[in-house]
Amino acid sequence: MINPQAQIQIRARLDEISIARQFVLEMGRQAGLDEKSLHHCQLAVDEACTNIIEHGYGEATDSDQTISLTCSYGKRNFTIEIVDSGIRFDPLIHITPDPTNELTQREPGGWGLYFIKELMDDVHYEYRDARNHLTLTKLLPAPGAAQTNRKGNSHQVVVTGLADNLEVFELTGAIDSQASQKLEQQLVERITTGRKYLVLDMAGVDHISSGGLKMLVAVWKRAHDVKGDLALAGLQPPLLEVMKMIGFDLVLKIFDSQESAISHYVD
Amino acid sequence: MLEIHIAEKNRVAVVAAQGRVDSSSAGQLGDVLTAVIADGFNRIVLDIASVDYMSSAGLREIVSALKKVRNDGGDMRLAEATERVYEVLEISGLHTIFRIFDSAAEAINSF
Repeated sequence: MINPQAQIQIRARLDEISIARQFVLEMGRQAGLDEKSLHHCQLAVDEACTNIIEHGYGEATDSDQTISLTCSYGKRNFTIEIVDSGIRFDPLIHITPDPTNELTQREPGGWGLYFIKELMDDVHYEYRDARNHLTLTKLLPAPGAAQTNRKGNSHQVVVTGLADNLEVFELTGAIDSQASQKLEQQLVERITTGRKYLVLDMAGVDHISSGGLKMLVAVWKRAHDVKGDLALAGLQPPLLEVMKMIGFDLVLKIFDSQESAISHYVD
Repeated sequence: MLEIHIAEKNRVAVVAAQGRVDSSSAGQLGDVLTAVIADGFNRIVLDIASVDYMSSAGLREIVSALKKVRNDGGDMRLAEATERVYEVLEISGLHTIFRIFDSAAEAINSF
């Protein structure tokens, strides 16, 4: 069976990028992508085309210069191939900025390529027939499966039996807003049943959303209401840096490890 | 399409954008912010409640405006980021750098 496929060409001008975005939106919908993934694909294509026009073709408005886009999809994935004849440029070997940088260390631009890599499930580059070929892939949700988080849902293990009023949660994966809701319920329930000292071992957590941060503050407040506490332990360096940057370490106690957190409360 | 309105409240410049901020329209936003700063404002509220799309070209403009006003002892604060725009801010780490408020009124009063 041949996978559905369609191709368009736009002129290499910034005001034509909206045509490319619209094309990707329509094809992505046909392929069965959800709204969030559609937005990701549109952004990635926007960034890639902007880069080609501004750098690959050097902002010239020669109407002969074009970008071609081909969308195709199968059962498992949705693919966008972007082809241009501008200067040879492999975006994958380009250095991208660091989202944990503070304002003073930041250059205003340079985020386009980072977005492409961050938003898509796979990015492949090839220089062939004197053209740049950039292939972006987004995985389709498995049939019948519930929506899964890009970075995997968080899981937790509870370590008990340390002290009557202390409990340690070992968390892994991403603490996004969905995971936060569940976690907040569980943590608040522990507090109301007398475990007023809670330690979250974050060693396995690679991502925390703003919803996750809000949840931590909410739980911390609940613990303080009953003269207890909520502490974090073993944060990965990038997360720790973010927490410090936004002043989280002034509110919550942050320990190097689960053990040092436990000894703080047990002694 | 991007539409931008400017107002002044309590000596804070309120810049309300509406539509899409992408590589073809970001310059427009950048020009407005530059003009507002040139007019002597170093306290700006950027109301993005009606911005449903922002690419890195938009981030480039708001970060360079933020740098200018912070260097001048002021600030630019964001009001009502939509879910999509918030995600873009989050991926680039800017959600920790900008102060983001739930409404324009709250952002204005925060100064």
